[in-house]
Amino acid sequence: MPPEAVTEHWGSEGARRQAAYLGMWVFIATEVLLFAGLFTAYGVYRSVYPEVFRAAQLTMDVGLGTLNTFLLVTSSILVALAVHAVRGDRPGLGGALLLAAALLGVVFLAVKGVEYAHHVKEGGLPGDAYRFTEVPRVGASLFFTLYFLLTGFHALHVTVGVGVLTVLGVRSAAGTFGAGYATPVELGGMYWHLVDVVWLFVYPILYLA
Amino acid sequence: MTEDAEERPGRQLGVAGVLAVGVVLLALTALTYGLHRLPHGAWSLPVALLIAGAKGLLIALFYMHLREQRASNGLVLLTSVVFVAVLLTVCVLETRTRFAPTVPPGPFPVEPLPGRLEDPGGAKPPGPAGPREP
Repeated sequence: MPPEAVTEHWGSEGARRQAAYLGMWVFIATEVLLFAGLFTAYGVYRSVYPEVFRAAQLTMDVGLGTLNTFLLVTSSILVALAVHAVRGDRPGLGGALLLAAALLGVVFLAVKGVEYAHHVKEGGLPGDAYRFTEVPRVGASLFFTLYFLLTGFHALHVTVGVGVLTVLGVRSAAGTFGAGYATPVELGGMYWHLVDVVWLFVYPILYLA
Repeated sequence: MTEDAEERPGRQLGVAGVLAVGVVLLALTALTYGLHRLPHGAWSLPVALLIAGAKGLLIALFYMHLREQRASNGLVLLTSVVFVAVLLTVCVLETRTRFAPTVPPGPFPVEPLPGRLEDPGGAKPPGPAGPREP
């Protein structure tokens, strides 16, 4: 249960929960705008170098990108089930589901690491470090700069999310949360879903079309 | 406390609902990949982004609990999405409708100006404006 003093501060339990949700949505809005800058840079430079971006995109490993998409969507489903379990006063099950989702996040990062290793080997690196002879034309280094910025920022968010889910999972399994106090699990879950949604947009623009 | 500050617990998804939304999300992901495997043209990116938007809407409504919360929370998200749309649309439209010579060059090395080949420093940007220091 939340400390009584916290609930008293807000006047009621409903108002405390609403304040928590609203604060999380404001945070999510700032995250959306952070990624919007990168998406806009991608849109602008893709407009300037459409053929080169297409050629660079064709060198991406679509299989690994798709695998990562399925991993994140599945982890989102597990988190949604975990929130449902904790709200239903089954924190043990909720904790196990949260830890399973965190594990999928770790697998996502491992797959991303394999991809990065391929890019480093091929020379598909950002800016001046670009040495990829397969797509030597002007503009391709910009694609890889934006690729590393978008996926790097996203991987940073996944890393934070894995930490959040792990802490929430362990605390939930220890019985800290339950039907009367599920707010931290709900907010942590919202963060993880945000990470998933950002990837859902990164996936098509970098790997598919 | 006013009534509209309360959540609507009756709108919370059951296990079957959570799984049903999950199956739709996985199916839409498979659809995105399947469409990519088919021959595709200029419409492939808008279609892929439309599917991603549908998935994002499902996640926001059901998994991020917008459906059970008061509408002002959704307004925060909607506002950020509108600003993203404005930023993206204006920037991309501006770039696509530019007079070609005004498009800045790519990130290749700056070439020396004609007639100044002997002076590689000639391609450097000018120094800061203002009075010179004594």
